[in-house]
Amino acid sequence: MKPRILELREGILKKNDELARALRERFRQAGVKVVNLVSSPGSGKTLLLEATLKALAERGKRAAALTGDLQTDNDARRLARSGAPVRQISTGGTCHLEADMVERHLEGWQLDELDFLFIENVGNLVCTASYDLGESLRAVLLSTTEGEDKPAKYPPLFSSADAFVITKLDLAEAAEFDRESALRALREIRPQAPVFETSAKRGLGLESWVDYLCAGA
Amino acid sequence: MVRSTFCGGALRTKSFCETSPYNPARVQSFHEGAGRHSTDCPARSEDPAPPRAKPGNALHELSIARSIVERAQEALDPGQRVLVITLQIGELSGVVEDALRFCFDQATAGTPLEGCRLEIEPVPVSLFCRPCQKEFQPARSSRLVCPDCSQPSGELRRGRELTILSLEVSDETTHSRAS
Repeated sequence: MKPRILELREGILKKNDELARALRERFRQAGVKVVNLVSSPGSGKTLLLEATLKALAERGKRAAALTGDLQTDNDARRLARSGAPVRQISTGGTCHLEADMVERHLEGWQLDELDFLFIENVGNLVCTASYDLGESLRAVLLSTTEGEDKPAKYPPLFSSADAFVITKLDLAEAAEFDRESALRALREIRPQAPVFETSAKRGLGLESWVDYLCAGA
Repeated sequence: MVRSTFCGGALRTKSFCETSPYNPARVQSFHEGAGRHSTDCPARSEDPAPPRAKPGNALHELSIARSIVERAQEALDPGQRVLVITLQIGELSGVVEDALRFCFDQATAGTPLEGCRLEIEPVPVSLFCRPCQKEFQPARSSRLVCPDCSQPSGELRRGRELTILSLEVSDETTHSRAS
């Protein structure tokens, strides 16, 4: 036996990363801004997305959404009430979305007729960090009910965010949410990401969030 | 109050990060691309695509282990086996070494990697501090703050690696001819 060394020096997720890069280029050429919404389960992604889709429609923007879950199309049904085209990605067991799932579900959509494509990821603060979906913006949600130290507990995801959205502001008092601690934790894990404080249920803070999306800056 | 101040007190009104250590291309693509209006499109929840059956991937590291095995096998010639595989895993990669080792046996069973030694080079987080103009390693990965000036830094230099560095392979065909 002659052992020898094969140098690879290659990303383990190379396939996903290459596909994500191709998607990113495709999105850029089509002029569509793609937002990956990531958070723990139950943080309010779907409600925020419903409100966002509605607000964008009122501003005359064209948006579509892909929503990922292991099972059911409950979220897609909810989101479709906004009037936007919506597709459900049922992963069947995989706990995060990957670029190939996104690509498959785009078939038949005219991307150049869209201003925005939202991808609601599977509720998961761990695995979602590693998978580039070709998005233009990664928005990580933190609800007032889940603890101010979430950012410190999940550094890979929180440190990869382009923007943070604090959700369920209406429950902050009841949950004794320590706003200063949360903002500090977010600042210390990703200082350059802006923070939007919202309550989709009460319509708070949505205008700033949608302004930000529309400005692209 | 719907916006907060960061970065030493400066209000960032235009704050898509200028540098995105995770993926610089992502920031660029958000700035580009003109908005368009389009004709109405009927709203509907489209039929879900068939679930993608990928049993047992609920544990993140098992999925990673399977990706490693898949890639390694592509690099092998027929009859070759892997003796040692060397990986680089960054502290902020989202992959935990212990969990990966736990899943590795399952992922390699019945493949040319079965029984191989798994070597892992951990890569600690390293950031660049603009005010101090130098790299630093934070005391913990949850607080990316310069130990000298206490400013948070978003400029990651190292720590997200998830890389197959090398394979040490044996040529089984030579062995079998000799036996």
